Amino acid sequence: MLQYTIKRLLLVIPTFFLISLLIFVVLNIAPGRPGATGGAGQGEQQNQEQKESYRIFKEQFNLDKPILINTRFSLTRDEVRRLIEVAYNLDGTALARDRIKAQEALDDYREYLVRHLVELLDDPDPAFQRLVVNQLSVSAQQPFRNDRRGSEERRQRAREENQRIGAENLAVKQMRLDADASPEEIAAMVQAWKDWYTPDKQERYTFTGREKLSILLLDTRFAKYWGNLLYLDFGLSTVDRRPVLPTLLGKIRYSLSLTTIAVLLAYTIAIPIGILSAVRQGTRLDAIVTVILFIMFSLPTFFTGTVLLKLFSEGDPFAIFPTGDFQTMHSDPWTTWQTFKDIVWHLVLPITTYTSVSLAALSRYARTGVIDVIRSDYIRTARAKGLSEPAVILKHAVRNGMIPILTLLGGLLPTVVAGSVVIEVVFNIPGMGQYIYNAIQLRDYNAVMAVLLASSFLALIGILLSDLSYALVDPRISFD
Amino acid sequence: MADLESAVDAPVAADARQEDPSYGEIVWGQFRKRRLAMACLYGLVGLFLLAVYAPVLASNKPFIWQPAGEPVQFPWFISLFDRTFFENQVDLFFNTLLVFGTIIAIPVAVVFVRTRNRLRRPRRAARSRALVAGIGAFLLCFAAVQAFPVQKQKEVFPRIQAQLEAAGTEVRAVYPPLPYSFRDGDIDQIGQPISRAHLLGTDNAGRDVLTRLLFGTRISLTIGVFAVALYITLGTIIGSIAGYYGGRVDALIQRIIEVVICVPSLFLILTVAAFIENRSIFHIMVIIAAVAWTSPARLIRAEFLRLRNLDFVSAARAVGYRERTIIFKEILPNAIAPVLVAATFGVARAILIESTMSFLGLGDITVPSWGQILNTGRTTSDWVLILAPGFAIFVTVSLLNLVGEGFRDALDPKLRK
Amino acid sequence: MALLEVKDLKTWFYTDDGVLRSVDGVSFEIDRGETLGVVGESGCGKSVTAMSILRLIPQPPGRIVGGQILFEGRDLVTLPIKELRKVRGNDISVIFQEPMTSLNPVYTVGDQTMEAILLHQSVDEDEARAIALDMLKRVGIPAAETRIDEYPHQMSGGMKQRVMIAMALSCKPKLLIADEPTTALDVTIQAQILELLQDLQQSEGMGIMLITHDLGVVAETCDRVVVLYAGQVAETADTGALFDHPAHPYTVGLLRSLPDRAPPGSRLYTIEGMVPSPQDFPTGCRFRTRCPHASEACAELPPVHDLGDGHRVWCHHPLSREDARALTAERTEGGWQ
Ligand SMILES: Nc1ncnc2c1ncn2[C@@H]1O[C@H](COP(=O)(O)OP(=O)(O)OP(=O)(O)O)[C@@H](O)[C@H]1O
Ligand SMILES: [Mg+2]
Repeated sequence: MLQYTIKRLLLVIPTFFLISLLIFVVLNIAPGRPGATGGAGQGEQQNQEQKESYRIFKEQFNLDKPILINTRFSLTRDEVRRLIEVAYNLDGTALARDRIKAQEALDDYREYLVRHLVELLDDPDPAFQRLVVNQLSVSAQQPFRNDRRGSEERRQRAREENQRIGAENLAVKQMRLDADASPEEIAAMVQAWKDWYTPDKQERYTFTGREKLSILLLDTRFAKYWGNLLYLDFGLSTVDRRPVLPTLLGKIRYSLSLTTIAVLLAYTIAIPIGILSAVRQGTRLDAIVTVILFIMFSLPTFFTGTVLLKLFSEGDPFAIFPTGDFQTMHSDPWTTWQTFKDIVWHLVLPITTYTSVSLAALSRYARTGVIDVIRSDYIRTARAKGLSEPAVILKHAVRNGMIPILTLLGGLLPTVVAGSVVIEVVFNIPGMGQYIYNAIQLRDYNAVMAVLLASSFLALIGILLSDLSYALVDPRISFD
Repeated sequence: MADLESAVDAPVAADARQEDPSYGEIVWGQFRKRRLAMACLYGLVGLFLLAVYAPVLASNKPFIWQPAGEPVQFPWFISLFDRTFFENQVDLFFNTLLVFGTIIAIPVAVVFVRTRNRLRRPRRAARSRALVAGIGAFLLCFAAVQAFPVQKQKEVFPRIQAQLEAAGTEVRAVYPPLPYSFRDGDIDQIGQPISRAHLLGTDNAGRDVLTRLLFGTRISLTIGVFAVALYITLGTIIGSIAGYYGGRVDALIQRIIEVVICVPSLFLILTVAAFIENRSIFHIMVIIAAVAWTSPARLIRAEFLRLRNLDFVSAARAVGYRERTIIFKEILPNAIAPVLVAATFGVARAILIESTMSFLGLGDITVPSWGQILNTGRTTSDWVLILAPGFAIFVTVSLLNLVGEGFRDALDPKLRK
Repeated sequence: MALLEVKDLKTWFYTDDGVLRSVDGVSFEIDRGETLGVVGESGCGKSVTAMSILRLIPQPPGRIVGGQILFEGRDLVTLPIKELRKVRGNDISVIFQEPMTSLNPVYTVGDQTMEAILLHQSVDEDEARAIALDMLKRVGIPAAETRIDEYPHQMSGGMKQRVMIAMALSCKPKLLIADEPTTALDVTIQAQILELLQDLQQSEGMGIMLITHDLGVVAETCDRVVVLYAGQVAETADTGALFDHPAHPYTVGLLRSLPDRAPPGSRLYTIEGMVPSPQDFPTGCRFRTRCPHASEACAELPPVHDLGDGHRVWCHHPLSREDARALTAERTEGGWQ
């Protein structure tokens, strides 16, 4: 058993890796780029500052990197030349769409361009030279080091390094030419760049085989993301530019308190109902219970929620409960009891909604579980021993009949922690569900990614727990 | 030994075997005994007919239009294939059904009625031939509709009529019982309560709620059926591959399935939907299918693994029948039954998912989806807009679930009394 | 007074396809210390009869619609369920036909054996366990000390059957209903079990109702035999008398189809046709559709003939002693038709 558990736990790692890969790819290839709040560059006319800030934005979220594999080291000089020609429409035939694409590529390729750009400086056409110079002053800027984690000492070092990079970048940024630069100015700047391209820079911008390999796999969005993930760093929210994880953890308590109560409630109500209607199978009681459960089962959550909200809190006809949120804003200090009462008062309707929806499914499970068992031979054996009917049901039928429904509990883990989008949106509860809903709409890429990953991980753990609990309650299943 | 003999005989005896009721007929016979499930099936058929004939009931194009002194026009009929009026493919599809489907259905129905008393074998052949021909003809018609798009100018007939009559011109016009468009609202009619003109009032854009509900049926049914058809096909293919080849292929597919089922499906669906610009209901169907294919795949795989070890397969193999033939002629038909039950429930689930998406504002905003109407009801706090679509969803989902249960019970030999 | 007296028992099943009269007027009795064999083809209502005695028929669809089951003078059919529970497992125990599924998979065999002991005897857990262990040993479970803590799925079919037997015997019942207790067992174990049953019977004076297909077992162990056909008693007699001169054509058919009565190389005799299913039992004598002696008269209900010494037969044309002896002894030669 222990061995099996360990084996399964180890299997969680590759599976989770594959899950993250899947989610990552799906999110990244979904049309409409995540985080694309500003437009891509439209030639030179576009506001330089806007362009710059979009570029920094992309850099910050690694959006300038390819998704899974990076072959940018194999760019050739001619390709680079072509990109510049298209981006600036030098031959006057490029389509707007292609121009935008080429411009974006130039923005994204950064250090992989430098080597080729330096070579292209030798172009006889000063106009082209000017474009190359300006591209260089962008591409030669180095990315900053991430200084958000690690020991204080490390961060200190990263900060110093970033200061140096900042200074270098500032210098590089100024080595550019205006549209009306004279040929002499251009020639001077070209020379300045050639001087800048010292041997140590040459080394920096040419790649050995080993480096190529590591670039191929590691200088990608996915690798960078995982690199951060290893430190439990889910990145920054593109909306509030704050780390995602603390925000997320702050949301959990809302979802958790709502759903745990609801799930517990649902189980405590559903199991007796299910058993009762199974034992009384075919009677009128069973028929009534079945019909009611069926109706509850077919009602969509958002409908139940909306109706309850309107009935009992929007004053149509009753205004008993608050119209949403988790607790009341108040300035005077409250006792724990007051706070507790307030929260409970807020949660009555959402919990009712959640419970009613899961209750139906659960009791139907419980009922079929018990019915399957109640006809079996060993129940007859138990009766033949002279056990009373309650003893037969509770000791012999329920334990077997409840195995499937108990193991469902594991599968509920992600919902319990991540909450329910619909209920949290309808009742305006600031939990995880609402968080991801808002993040989705604002295309807060890292936040969405974090929620998806977290709940997939919980699902994995939930499945594992299900299987293990199955083995615990059902001796027929052994993993040795 | 006896098993082996009969198994070997089986393909040879195929002709003789057809005299017996087929598996499908047995299941159908069992299903027919369940009165509730049968009633629900009729209910579903009714719902489908409502969806098909929705424009007959509700449209702001008059069947007949004749201002005094002008020739008679038939704007309603022309509007059926008008891309500016019915801009959505779903509507075009249903309208094709409405016009050509009705025409084609008549001869097919005649074949079915006339073969009712024949012996089994010729009846079955004739019926399937008629069905295939009918479906083929319909697809041809739909292709033709696609190939020759009609585009008309936008004309609001009731308003023109009012203007003409104000100017003193008599107009002869016959409208459907609900003379409203499901898409274009009347700004003078915003938020009307229930009245004789608007049986369920109007919404915040002045559109007749009943009309929108009616056309919403089309959306829900399309989403449900097509999304499920898509993922069942996908899942069946993947599941059969896994179950058929076994071994390493199976292990790989199992891994993939494991990964996909861990991903929170609603979150993923909502996310992808939100990231798509100008999403249409086709996107939504594809997204639903992309996360839901795992369950039919697992069902089919399990059935394959169970069935491939049964005697008749090994016997047929021993005699030298090609394994592929065995698998797809013998195993797949046996394995498909539980999948079809799951499909019925799947349609209900897909409809729920779509309405949830629309409710959250992440559906196709150009179509009158029930979830979207309900969301309008929530934001405008209008009881009718909450209850009416809620009831529509509830009824559709209940019908589907009950039919699904009926099928499941009909398939389950344990329950056959 | 007999230990158990079943009078005109009728257990019918109310299904969608109509009423199945699976047991339709069965009467027999069992004395203390007596073994009654119940034989008949598959589906003739043996198990339903047995199950009816403790009212263990699944209900719905089944129901005891008539008759009496007198156990020590009390009618179990009308006994309040509370009283009946004190009889179940204590005074009357059942060994079920299906050993594979008759044990609860989630409890150890020890737990399940102790359950009845704890319920009916005033003992504590340790004592109950000791009794259970002793019982398991007596039914021949090897290494019973460790096996007692195993789960049913860890045991073979024969082993499970022995656990079932131990369970049934653990409270020293006055009557044991054994529904094909030895079918799952190999021959040596079978003999051991039957011996064990006989031992217990002698020491405790237990009555046994032994349902079986195996007429050999009947001949060895039973004092008297009831032959069931299609839910009704065809014939009942002392074992010796029944094997010597059966009077019902059905019994004759059963005996003639015994392998040890046929010479090597000859084809076994079989009764033509199959037991009709309960919804199409014929009127009158239910055996007449397969009976070689059937006549017009058989469409009427058969009369009972008392042949003395408790030998009774329900038939219009009971065979005479001589005919019966001749028929059952006849070599079924040249039976290759
Ligand atoms: N739960 C039930 N529901 C409906 N009919 C039943 C049920 N149990 C038994 N029967 C009917 O009662 C008849 C007798 O069954 P029973 O189990 O007593 O046969 P049997 O003599 O024990 O056969 P076998 O030797 O195979 O055990 C069967 O034909 C069956 O149709
Ligand atoms: Mg039996």
